[in-house]
Amino acid sequence: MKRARPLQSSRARVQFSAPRASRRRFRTAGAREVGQRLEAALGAAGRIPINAVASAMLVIDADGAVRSMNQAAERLLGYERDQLLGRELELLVPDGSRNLHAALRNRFIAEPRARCMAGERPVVVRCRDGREVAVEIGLFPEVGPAGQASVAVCIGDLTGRRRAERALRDAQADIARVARVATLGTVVATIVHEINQPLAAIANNARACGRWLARGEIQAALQSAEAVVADAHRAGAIVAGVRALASKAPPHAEPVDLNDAIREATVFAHGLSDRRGVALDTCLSAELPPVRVDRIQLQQVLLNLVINAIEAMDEPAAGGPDRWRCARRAVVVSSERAGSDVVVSVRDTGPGLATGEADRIFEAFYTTKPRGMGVGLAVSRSIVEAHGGRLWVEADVAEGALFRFALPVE
Amino acid sequence: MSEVDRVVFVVDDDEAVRRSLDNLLRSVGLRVQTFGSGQAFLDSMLPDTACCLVSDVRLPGMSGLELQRRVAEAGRPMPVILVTGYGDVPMCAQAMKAGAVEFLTKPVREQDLLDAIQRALERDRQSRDREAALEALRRRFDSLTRREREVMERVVTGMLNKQIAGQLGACETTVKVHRHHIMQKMGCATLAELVRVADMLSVVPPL
Repeated sequence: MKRARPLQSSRARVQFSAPRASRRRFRTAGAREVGQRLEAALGAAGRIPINAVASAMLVIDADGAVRSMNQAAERLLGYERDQLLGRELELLVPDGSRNLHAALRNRFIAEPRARCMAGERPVVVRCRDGREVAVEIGLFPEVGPAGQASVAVCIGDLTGRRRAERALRDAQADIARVARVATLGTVVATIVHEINQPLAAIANNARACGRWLARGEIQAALQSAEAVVADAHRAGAIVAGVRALASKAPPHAEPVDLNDAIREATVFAHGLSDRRGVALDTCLSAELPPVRVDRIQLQQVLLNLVINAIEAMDEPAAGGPDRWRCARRAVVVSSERAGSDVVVSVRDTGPGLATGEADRIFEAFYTTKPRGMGVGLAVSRSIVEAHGGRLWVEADVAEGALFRFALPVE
Repeated sequence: MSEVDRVVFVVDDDEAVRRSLDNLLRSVGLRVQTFGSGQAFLDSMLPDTACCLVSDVRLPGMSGLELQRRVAEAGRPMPVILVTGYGDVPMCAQAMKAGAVEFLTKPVREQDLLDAIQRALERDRQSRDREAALEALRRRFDSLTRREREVMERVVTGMLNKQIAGQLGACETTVKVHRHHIMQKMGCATLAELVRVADMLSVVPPL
């Protein structure tokens, strides 16, 4: 264990430094940074060779005439030194704001202080060919040896950064789109499979029903018909779940007695619990205020939690392929008032959740069941949250698993 | 042989599908046993009667194809009908090569399934009958003495009694007596019948 530590930390260091380096390379050096470097240099030596600066730089005098410029400025602005030296800085300002700029410049010369001119609005310079380029500008006043004032102007080109930002946004949109399509494909394949199962069962049971009738076996025919109904409900529940997942439609809220909803859901689930040999009980608080919810969606959440709990009994025990065995196979659904919330708990005596599983079970398409879709809990949570509630799994329980959701009282 | 003497085994992990198949097959008078996994089927005690297996290809754990292979290797091979939602040609070919009777694609038409089951059960009954007949013959052959077997091996190659007597160093009358016993014990009335039986038992003539 001790040997693993330095390895881990060195890996962490590499991971940390890589994005930093790339970020630095990616970004155009801003005027502010250049300015700060410049300021330091000016403080030390009083002068710097401006051609050594990678960003575009101009130096103007107190009257706003260009006194010096570097090669980067020539490249950015499209002017050669001789074309610009001695000319007014306003040559580089778009027509509409020239007068304003001259006024601002005079005010700056009167009260010189280093500042950055980017602000909220993008600053635009006009190049020789008429192009207007978005820039950020740093201003650094200087007093020369003979007492004459001048201002160093650093111009950072933003177009490169803008283009990179746009490319990044486009790439993100593409990834999101691809992810949506890929997810859709997976979902469709799963849904097709999940719905085909009950449909196949319906066809089989309906055929069997006809044959039993032809043989005069009324009881068997009735059972077949009931099986058809149960299978149809299952297919319907899958479709409803898909719709809830796909549409995020605003729920149709109405005051609902939670206890009634729990009783209905357990009636639905009794068929399954009986077949699996699981005792399904309720423990309902007598004094429960109604909650404003979409009744159908609430049923989905309840049924989903209860069916999960029943099926949990037949899951393998944690850490081994053996079947989970427990003295009592039971699921209890309880309701209670907790402050301004009504809380519903679904507790089972199954093998419980493996370490780390609790974090993942609410993710869409995560499942521990061989044929599970992995959407039940994700859908349930989104339903509960759409009603202003919370759905969670209790971390520390002595036995089995305990799922809870809370809905605000009306 | 009535329908009740035949059993159809169904392996499908979807409970609703399993129960519906059970219901459907019972409604046509077949006996059915269902299993949730291939392993559960392999672990079970099988009845000694004509049977066939209907299995989904896509199963958690052991797939339907794997189950078919294991059944073919087991002591009690039986016809297998595989059902799949995604039937592709290579998978189908592989299954057929491994001896699947039928390869049905979902959604399975009820009549196709029932026909396939009937064919599979009939095939299993015939192979069981053949096996039973062969077993009876084997028991008869085992009841022969060593000398009688030596004589029989030579008789079925068309050798005359005199030639056999010469080869075995016995007198011709003794060979005649042996020959009579052989015909009795093997339940054959004619030499042609005995030759056919020897062929079924793969009795190898001496070099």
